[in-house]
This record gives sequence, structure tokens and C-alpha cells, in this order.
Amino acid sequence: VPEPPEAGFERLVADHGRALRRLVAAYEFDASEQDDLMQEIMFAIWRAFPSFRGDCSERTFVFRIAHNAAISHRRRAMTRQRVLELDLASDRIDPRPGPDEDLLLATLQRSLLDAVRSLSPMLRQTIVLSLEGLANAEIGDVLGVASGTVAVRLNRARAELTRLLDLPRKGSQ
Amino acid sequence: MMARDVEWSALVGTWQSFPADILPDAALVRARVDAQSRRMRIWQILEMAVTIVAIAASVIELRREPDWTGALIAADIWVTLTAAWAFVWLGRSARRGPVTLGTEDYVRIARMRARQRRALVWLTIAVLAGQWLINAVVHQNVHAGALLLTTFCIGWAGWQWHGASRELRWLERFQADASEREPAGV
Repeated sequence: VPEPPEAGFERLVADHGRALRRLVAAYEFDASEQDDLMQEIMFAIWRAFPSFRGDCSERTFVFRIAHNAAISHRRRAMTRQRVLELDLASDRIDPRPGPDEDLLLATLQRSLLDAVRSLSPMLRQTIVLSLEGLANAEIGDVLGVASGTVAVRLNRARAELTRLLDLPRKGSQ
Repeated sequence: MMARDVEWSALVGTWQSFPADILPDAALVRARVDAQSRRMRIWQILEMAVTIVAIAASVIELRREPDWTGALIAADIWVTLTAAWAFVWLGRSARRGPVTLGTEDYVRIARMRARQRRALVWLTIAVLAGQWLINAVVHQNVHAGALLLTTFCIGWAGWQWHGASRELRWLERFQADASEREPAGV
């Protein structure tokens, strides 16, 4: 018996909602922007859900939509800003935590989130998916690139994270 | 190598332990979707109604005065409507977007649509220029209201072009950022 869309959607929210919240936090700094993006993602998933035919895993489906919605959200946010630095580094807005976030995040989590946020969008996407436990092939499915490309991006992203978090580098132990 | 794996596992654990408990209310999302769908349906009905009225008026006018000036005005209205509908269609398809595609394809299509929006702006400007020409030929004078409307339309078209260009540049940088340091063919 096929699952009714309402039940399927609620199950998706229950299964992937927390991962999506983390993804949203990696893209948006401001709490209200995060809520806005989360709603957009949910909206997009709800609309796309009837077209889901199981040709990829449910997690891949959800993350594809979430990343695409996040790109659109950032793109619109950049277009809205009156002064636009074309350098994507300008996407790295003030990384200081907001008061609500301060209460929620412990120091290590805070440092990790800040480090992830300071990566370029493409590396950020890759590392967030990897941190969520997706394999390279699955990340490739979400991003629409080959596993080899994912491996290259992950290497770069991990090296950046290591530098930003001031972790011991390979060979320095 | 093992130390690095342990380190990575620790990072994954830290990441996944984020207190992300504030989940969206599925019922609220459904209510939003329903409300937006209703608004879109109302807009679509209004747009269709305006289009039908404009086409009907132009056809009636053309049948009343079936000379070359009537044909020119009717053609002008139809071209204007076509341009307006092209903008509407592009805007809607951009909102719907192929969200279930992989990021690479999604960004490629977003770039294509931004380019289409810029091309449409040129079409709009061409239509406006055509209207001016028709106005000058048919009526031999220019109304202040028409001047104001044309100025507004050109300003709007310019703003659209600017927005599409910014989007396009952002998307190009987004893609370049990924590809510039990756070996070819990976």
C-alpha cells in the first residue's frame, strides 16, 4: 500500500529534520534567515515529494533538495544586498555567534560550525554531507559529480578544517 | 592515518551532536503550501483574465478598424503580452526549479535561466521601442502618462537585467570555485 504523502512527509521530517537543521546552520548565520531557509527547504520537499520514485535513496533526495534550496536562498540574499562583493569570501558573513546560538552550542561545536561556515560554498556542501555520514558515492549523487571529484573536494575541505580548527596535521605528530 | 580517522570520527560525532531539536511543524508547512498554492491560483486566474480581455479588445478593435494602424496596434499588444508571459513563465519555472537534480545540474540550469532573463530584458526594451515607434506613427504625439509608463518600464527592465547579471556572476563564481582547483576529468 503506497504511503500517503502527508505521512511520508512527516516521516521525512522526523528522519532528516535534525540533519537539515545542521545543514541550514552551515549556510546561514542569522537565526531568522535559518528559519526562513528551513521553511523553504520543507516547502520544496513537500512539493517535490510526490515525484519521488525511489531512483535514489530518500536521504539523497532530501539533501539534493536542501542544498539546492540553500543555494537559491544564498543567491537571493546576495542579490538583495545593496553592496555585493563578487568574491565568494563575502559570503562568509560575520561569524560571531548570535545570543541564542551561544546558549545552544558548546565551544567545540561552535568552533566546528564556524570552521565549516568559513569554507567556500562548494567545499561546505561536501564537508557537511560527509559530516552527516554520507559515503563519497552518495555525496556525488547529491552534488551531481563523480566520486573522484568528491574525494578531491573532501581532501581540500578536510585540510582547510584541520587548519581552521588548529588540529595536528599529518606527519606533525 | 589512524589518528586522522579517529580525529575525523570525533568531528563527525561533534557535528551530529548539535542540538538541532527545533524541528519544523509538518502541519504548518502544509498550511503554508496550501496558502501559497491558493495565492498562485488566484494570480493565474487574474493574469489569464487580463490576457483574455487584452486580446479580445485588440481583436474587436481590429475588426472595427481593419486598416494598417489597427493591425499595428493589435500586433503591438500581442508582442507585449508575449513578452510579459515569457517573464511570468521564467519567474515561475525559476521558483519551481529542478530542485531534485544534483547541485551541478541545478546550478547549470540556474545560470541558463539567468541568461534567459537577461535576453528577455532586451526583448522588453525592443518591445518598448516598438511601442514608441507605433505611438509616433499612429498618434503623432506623446502623452506625459505614456512617457512616465515607458520610463518606469525601462527602469524595471534595467533592474531585472542588473539582478539577473548579479545572479549570473554569483553562480559563475560558485562553479569556478569548485572547478579551478580540481584536476580536469575528475
